[in-house]
Amino acid sequence: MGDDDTGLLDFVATRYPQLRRSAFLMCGDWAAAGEVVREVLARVVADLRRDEFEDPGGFAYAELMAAFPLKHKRREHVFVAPPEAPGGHDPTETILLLDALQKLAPRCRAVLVLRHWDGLPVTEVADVLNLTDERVEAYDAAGCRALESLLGDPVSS
Amino acid sequence: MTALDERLARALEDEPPLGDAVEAVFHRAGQLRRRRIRALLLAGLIAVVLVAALGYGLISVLLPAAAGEPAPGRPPGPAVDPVAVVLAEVADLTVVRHPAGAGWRQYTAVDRAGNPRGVIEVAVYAAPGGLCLPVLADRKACALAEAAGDIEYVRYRFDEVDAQVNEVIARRPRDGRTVAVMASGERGTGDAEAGRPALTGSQTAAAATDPRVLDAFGATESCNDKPSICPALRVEVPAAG
Repeated sequence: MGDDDTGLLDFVATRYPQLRRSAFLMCGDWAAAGEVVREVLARVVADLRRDEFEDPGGFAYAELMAAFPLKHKRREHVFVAPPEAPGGHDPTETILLLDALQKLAPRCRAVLVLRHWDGLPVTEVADVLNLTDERVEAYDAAGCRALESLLGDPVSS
Repeated sequence: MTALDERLARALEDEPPLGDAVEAVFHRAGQLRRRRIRALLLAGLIAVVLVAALGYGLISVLLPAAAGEPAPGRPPGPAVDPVAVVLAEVADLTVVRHPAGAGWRQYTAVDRAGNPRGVIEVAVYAAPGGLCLPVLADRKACALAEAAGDIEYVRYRFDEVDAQVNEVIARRPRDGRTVAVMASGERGTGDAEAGRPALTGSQTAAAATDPRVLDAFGATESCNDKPSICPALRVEVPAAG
């Protein structure tokens, strides 16, 4: 790796953990999440070397979300709890949440992840997902209601 | 932080270690870059091949002669006549073949200035038993033949008022094939210079002793015993001995 890659190295080292967590919430699989993020960041690095865009962070989010199917798949997801849950929280809660997220429409799930985990504002989420602000807000509200219904608990403050 | 934010954060507490993910990203980016370069080079190569093929196709359609093919409907060029080739070589002339017959050929010659240089007649004979070529001063005497390679020959020259004639009779002893080459200058010009024959004596000898001339005729072609249809030579080839 050359000296010119120092900035890229910082970018990847900073972004990789956050993007992997977002990907995990999208697919519920740490291995698959890591694979998708490595592929996305490799494309971003290759394009950044050619100075192809000004907002690599936004581009990385857009590429990441585009990597997941936009149409809802009729498929069973089986989530397995880790043998020992650090932090003392109940692993069943994690499984129920991931399962509930998987039951949402992919765009709705993406809006919830970007808004409530990554903390992106509505306009930025709209840019990443190529939606209008109104559609993002509608997905957000619908997604929260669906999660409340699936989990049986209120999820919005 | 909302309840959802907190639940999402808790779901991520079991995150496995990052490992060498950053290195893997750069490794994959390098592979991606190399793939893109290869794809770019391949696309360039394909473009060059397409342009070359298109250019060749256009040239073949628009300029068929440039591609080495005769134009559709155009008759093929005349077959190469070895005798004409030899005549043009020895004297730097333009020779035009005229209809003749089996055993002989006839050509008219034009020099580089475009002046007509008379007629050249070439006839072949079979003389397997040898020949007694006459001496002009004594038709009953046999001339002493000169030799060029494996061909022996005798030269004759005739000077008229305004024209000259050079004739050479050459024989190949190996097979008895004999050829007579007679170059006659233009007649009736009133000028001896204008009546010079197309070939000098030595050029006539060079043409007659060139094996390509003898070999240009078929094995069965011969002017023996056909004086009415073969050229009237100034010195006739005598009957084979």
